[in-house]
Amino acid sequence: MHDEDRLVEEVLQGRHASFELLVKPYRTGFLNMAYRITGNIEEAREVCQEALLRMFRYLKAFRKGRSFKTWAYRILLNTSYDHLKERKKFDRAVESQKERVLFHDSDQETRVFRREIAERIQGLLEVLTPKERAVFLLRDGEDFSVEETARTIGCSPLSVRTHLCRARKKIRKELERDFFREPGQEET
Amino acid sequence: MRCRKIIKQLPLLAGEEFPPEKAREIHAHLDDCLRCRKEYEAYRHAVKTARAWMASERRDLPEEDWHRMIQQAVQEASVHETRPIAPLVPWPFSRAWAVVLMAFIVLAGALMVIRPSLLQDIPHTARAVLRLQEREEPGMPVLGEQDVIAMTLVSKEAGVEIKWIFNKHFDLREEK
Repeated sequence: MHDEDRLVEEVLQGRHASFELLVKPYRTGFLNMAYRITGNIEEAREVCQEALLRMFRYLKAFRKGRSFKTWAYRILLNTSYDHLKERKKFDRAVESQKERVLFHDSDQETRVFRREIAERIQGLLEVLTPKERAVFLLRDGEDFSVEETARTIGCSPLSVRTHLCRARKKIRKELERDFFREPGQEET
Repeated sequence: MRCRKIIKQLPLLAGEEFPPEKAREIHAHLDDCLRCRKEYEAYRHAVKTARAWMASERRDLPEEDWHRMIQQAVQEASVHETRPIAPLVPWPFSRAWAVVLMAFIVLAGALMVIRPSLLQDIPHTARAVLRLQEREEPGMPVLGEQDVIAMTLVSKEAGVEIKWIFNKHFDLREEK
């Protein structure tokens, strides 16, 4: 926490190299969070780029002594949802989430496996509301505590528990439905 | 605890959201209740599966790409910082303009509340109407030149006729 405050102070004093050190621990977290929400790795990169820009620009507004992690993830979440709104506006969301997932693995077997997992995760996330999705991704995807999740989303821990509870009920139902579905049978 | 209450807490217990004491209390019930235990196991399996999937399908960026993204963010933000948007009115005057504008709005508001007639130029309008009438009926006095204004009230039932006559100083003379 103190290290983060020191790095924030350095960035504000004009030492821009410290910004990279400040956000480095959350590199994969940012990318994966944006990836789960957008369903596309290229769009996730765009979202991360925009979120990093916002973080740098509004770093003056960061209150020292608070958690940089929750502040940064909050910006990332807002940027991701803004991006989704823009995408809907331009009516580019017609394609299914499954088609959006891009893979760059060279190994064919790994690629197929990862595609299958990614499609299943996207299928699970599709049944959740935006708030449930955010809570679920932060708690179960990024291993945030309930308190950290509450600070990131800007609600009470009780509200986080409620949304988490609903999300897990839906996830369970979806997994059971998926399990009992015949192989190759499409959803009606 | 009753099963109904326990079942509501199972999605959270499955993700280990409760403090140890409360978790122990719920687990004690699960040891005795087969139905609740089955429910718990289903939630536990769902949470573990979802977490495992998300952990196994994590993406990362090459170090150079990440470095480039940071550099780009810093550069873009710096460009915006060095080129602030020019305000419509230069700063030393903008506050003065705002004060003058606010004072004008407050004054206009106060005038409307205190003397709404000030905002309506009634004499001027009436004068214009009378001038028009004068064109049709020559000799009719214009409001500004009229010395006496008279008003007659007649009661049909009582047959009383009251005349109010005002001079130019609005001194009232009443005739019955």
